[in-house]
Amino acid sequence: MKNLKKWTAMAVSACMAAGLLAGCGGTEGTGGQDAEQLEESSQGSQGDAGESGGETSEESQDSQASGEAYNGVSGNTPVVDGEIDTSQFVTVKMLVLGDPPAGDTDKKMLEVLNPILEERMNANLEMTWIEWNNYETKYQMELVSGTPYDLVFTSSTWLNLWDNVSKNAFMDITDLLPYYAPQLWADTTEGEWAQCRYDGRIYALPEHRMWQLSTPGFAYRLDWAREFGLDRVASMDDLEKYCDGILEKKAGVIPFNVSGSINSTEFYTLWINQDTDYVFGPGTVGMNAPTANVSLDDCWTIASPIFDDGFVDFAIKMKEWGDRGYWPTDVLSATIDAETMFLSGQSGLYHANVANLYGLYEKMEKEDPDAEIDIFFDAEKRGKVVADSVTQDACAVSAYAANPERALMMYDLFQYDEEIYHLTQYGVEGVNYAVDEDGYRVKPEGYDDQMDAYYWDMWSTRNDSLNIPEFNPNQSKIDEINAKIKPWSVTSPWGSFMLDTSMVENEITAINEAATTWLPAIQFGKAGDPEAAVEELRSALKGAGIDAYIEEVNRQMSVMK
Amino acid sequence: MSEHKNKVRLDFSGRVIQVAGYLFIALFALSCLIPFIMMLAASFENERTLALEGYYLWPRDFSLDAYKAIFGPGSEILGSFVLTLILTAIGTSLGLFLTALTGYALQRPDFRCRNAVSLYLYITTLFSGGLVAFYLLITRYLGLKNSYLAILLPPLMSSWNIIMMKNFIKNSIPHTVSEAAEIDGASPFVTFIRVILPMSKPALATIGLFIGLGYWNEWYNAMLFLDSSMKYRPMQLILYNLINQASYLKNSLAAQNIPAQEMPLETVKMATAVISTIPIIMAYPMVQKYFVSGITVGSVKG
Amino acid sequence: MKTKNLPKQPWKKTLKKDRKFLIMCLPAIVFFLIFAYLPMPGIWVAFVRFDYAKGIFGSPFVGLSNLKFIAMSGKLGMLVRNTILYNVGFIATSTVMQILIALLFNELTNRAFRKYAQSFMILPNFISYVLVGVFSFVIFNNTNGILNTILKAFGASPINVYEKAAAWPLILVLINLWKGSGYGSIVYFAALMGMDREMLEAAKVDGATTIQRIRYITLPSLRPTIIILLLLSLGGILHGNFDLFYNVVGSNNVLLQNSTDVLETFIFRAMVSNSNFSTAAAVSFVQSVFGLIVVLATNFVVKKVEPDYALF
Repeated sequence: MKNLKKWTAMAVSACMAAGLLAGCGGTEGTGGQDAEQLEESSQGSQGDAGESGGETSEESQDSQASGEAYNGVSGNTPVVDGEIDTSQFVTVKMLVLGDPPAGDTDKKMLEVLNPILEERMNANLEMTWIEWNNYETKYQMELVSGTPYDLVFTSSTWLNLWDNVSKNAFMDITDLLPYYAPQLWADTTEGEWAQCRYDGRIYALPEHRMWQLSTPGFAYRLDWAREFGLDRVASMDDLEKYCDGILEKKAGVIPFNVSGSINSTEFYTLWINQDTDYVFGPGTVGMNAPTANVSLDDCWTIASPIFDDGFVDFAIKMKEWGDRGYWPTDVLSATIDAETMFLSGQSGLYHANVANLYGLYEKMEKEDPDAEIDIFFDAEKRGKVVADSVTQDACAVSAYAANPERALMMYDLFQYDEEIYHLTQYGVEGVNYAVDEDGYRVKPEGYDDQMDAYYWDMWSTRNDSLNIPEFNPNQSKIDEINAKIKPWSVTSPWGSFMLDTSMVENEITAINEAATTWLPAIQFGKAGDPEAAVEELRSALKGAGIDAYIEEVNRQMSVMK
Repeated sequence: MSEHKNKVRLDFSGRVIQVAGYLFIALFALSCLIPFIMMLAASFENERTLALEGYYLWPRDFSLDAYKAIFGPGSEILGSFVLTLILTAIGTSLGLFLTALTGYALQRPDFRCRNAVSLYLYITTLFSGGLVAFYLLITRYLGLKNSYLAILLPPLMSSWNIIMMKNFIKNSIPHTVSEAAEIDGASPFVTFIRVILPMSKPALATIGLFIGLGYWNEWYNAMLFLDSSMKYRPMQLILYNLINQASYLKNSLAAQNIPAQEMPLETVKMATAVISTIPIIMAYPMVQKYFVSGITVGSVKG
Repeated sequence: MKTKNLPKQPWKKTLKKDRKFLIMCLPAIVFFLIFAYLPMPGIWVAFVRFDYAKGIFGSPFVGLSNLKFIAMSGKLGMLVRNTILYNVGFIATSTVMQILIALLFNELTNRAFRKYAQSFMILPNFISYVLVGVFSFVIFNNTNGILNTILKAFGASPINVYEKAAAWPLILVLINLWKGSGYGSIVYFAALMGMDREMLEAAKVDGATTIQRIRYITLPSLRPTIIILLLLSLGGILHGNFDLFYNVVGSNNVLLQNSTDVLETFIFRAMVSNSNFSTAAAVSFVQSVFGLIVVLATNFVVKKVEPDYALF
């Protein structure tokens, strides 16, 4: 039956062309044949890639098991008697995300880098950028297309790393690492590798040598807060007083002047982080997170905060805030640039992250030198933030890669060789950057902001120990904030746990739809009567199978408890 | 031309239609023009003023910043403009010729397979293999990644245009015209070139306009198949990138650790819209005159 | 294959006679073979759980389960209803409007007026929906929208349009008319220009009034164009115009959703954090099948009533 269906579906479309023409003779069969060819060849070539990948891991497992020296499994870079043979010249292809620098500074950097790489490992690097626009589609298409990229930027948080691994888009590199990326291999703890494993095998290179803690918060005007009699905004009550102060004393300013999108959950997240014990962990579904792990102590159970009584209170409060005018009445349909509003003093709040602050301080200084900015973090009350996964930014090797070994050798240098690190991270010294007497990184003389700007978008190679700090007038403020939040960091209690979503894919999609429909509207108080809206959301989530989803996740997690 | 007669002897219903027609068309045309003027004004507006005071009929705080941003140093836009013109010219003339040729053959009553071929063309408007298959076809089987052919070929012909062309010819050029030509021994192809093409000006102008605009506005295939290693890419892609960079960065990744570069501004959106509309303002009057010349067609009936 | 005007003949003979026409069609046949038919089997991706290593045809077959989430949402009926009603509304109003514009243009005698008006009317076609969204917000927003400014000036109380579900079908139809009518009317106008003028002259000589001329000669001459364009647009009856709805309404204004949510916006919300092209392909396949059925049915009716105008 299954075969019949498959055959029918294929035959219908393939033969349509043929059949039609056959009606008046002549070109009979052409369409059918060509369609078959397409099918065959796509099966053939993709099948081949899969097979050779499979062989690699089998063989290498064998060699590991018997404890013998690694003797070079694939192609062009064998290890012979403990020596890596790089006699064959190769070009490593790397895929990164981002708009390439306007002045082609990436290509100019490669002109300096490639001779070095050639000398060290007889290889060159070639970079392909996926521009930001429609990057989701283009990224998936690049993976589908079978282009032999050796290094591919990926992320477990925003580029579906594990989904792609489970669909065999990336290569198992477990056995190659010790030989071809020895520094990275030695410098990475087993706990960090654990986060890069899928079914016990390593598929990703972690971003583990750069400290960062992404915790959201609201940037606000400290100078205004003082006007309203507040030292600083440190709690939800303060936030409310601050907003009321704006409505009262700053005519024409909207406290949170933004337009909502389907991912608007600033206040929902704030509520979760301030008023509940929930933490966002591996059981959290989608961007709007209608489920979360129950607490740090009970981290192996998930539930939906939406079904708690507290959520109704939250919805009522948000309606009240919305009615008071904390945000525009048309928030869900408006097209407002929140940053411009904040910088121009038309908005009192700007939802931000530590990483955004550098830029925000600098821009505000230009706009209004008297303005003072501070940030109120969601995590302020409880002082606990689960550290980012080391695969938030990561690098993988494509399943179709032609030179995985040389690629790993290169990657090792990108992250651990000082000369190459500086070259890849900052560009050519004297052109893209210079170092002043105090050891700070500054703009060299004659530097043109547009034509000389350089950046490296394989973010996962960032390594704090090799960094040259940038000279920044606001560095002290940033340092202060970093010092404040650093102690909040809690190592992820979930370690290498990986949720297998294959059984609940439909539930996830349906839950996502319900959540993106209702949560932004409820958190902006724009869903009519709040209690009724909460009921609607709850029943939509029930219909979408949230119970089945929670049950499945808890079943998988209970093993880990 | 019947205009003079119309002017002299207009009956009552004709006069009503004249008055109501002018009024209606004028209002509608105005409603179409005003947003464009606001757009034009906004593109010359200072960014801050636009954010604070909104849209208006003329710029209150004149600024060329948006255009400087678009045409600034390192900008590919001028080269892209030329590239787009070339692609549009080649694509339109080739596409139009093949469309007309096919359309003409398909309307010939003595072409027995015409319905089969029509159906064969029509089905493609309903079903497609989807993005993945199309992507594989272009990149892997035709090897057109980073080739301008990937932009030029796919929109060359569309069933819609062929069917439309077929009907234009069928309804405005009687079959007897072709028959007369072929009695003298001309082949259908020669008839098509010598007789039919010159008589199909309104249809050619209309469909040529559609095809040309399709090429002019094309950005999706360019986005998929031409990456940043290409020196010049179709203009609409560049403009699209400019427009969407801001919303992209701000809406979806603001909370993540993506290094945000200089974000394009609201006025840039307006300026890009203005630039992309320029060709139509230039090209339309040229095409328009063929609509009028089409009037002679009817008199050939033999 | 049906051959209407000629007697049935053996296919070899037919082919021989048709050879020169087939050669003329050859570029088109080859073109569509490569760019449309060759990728068509790729639709199989809609029915599998995609695996990069196994390719489209080697991935495990999962049938229609890529579509299950729509049924789970309980919104299928509402979505289909909205999508179809909007399309019917768009097709009907824009057809009438486009014909009206073309007819008026045909009657109006001032050439300069015609030329400029026609040029202005196609401008909206060049504005992206992002900008249409910006403009409609400029008009309808609650704080300083043009509409509410006018209402206030006349002493009326302002309306929060973005909370009035009932207003949106009308607004969307108007926007759709505004954006597409000028451009769309070109086809009809060109058809009028190519029309047989003798009848018109004869009617004038016989003393027919303008309205009679339009009613009995001009309008009927547009019939094939109208029917063909209608039939062609029916194929997309289950496809919503995502750009229009997303940019003008937004995809998650809950208060408006009952009257503005279409299949495309729904799928956009569902897919926002997982890029599963199998699901997208599955939905578009169902939309196409439905479109085909509608077209076949309509074509069947047209064939009965007016055999000459049928698509096939």
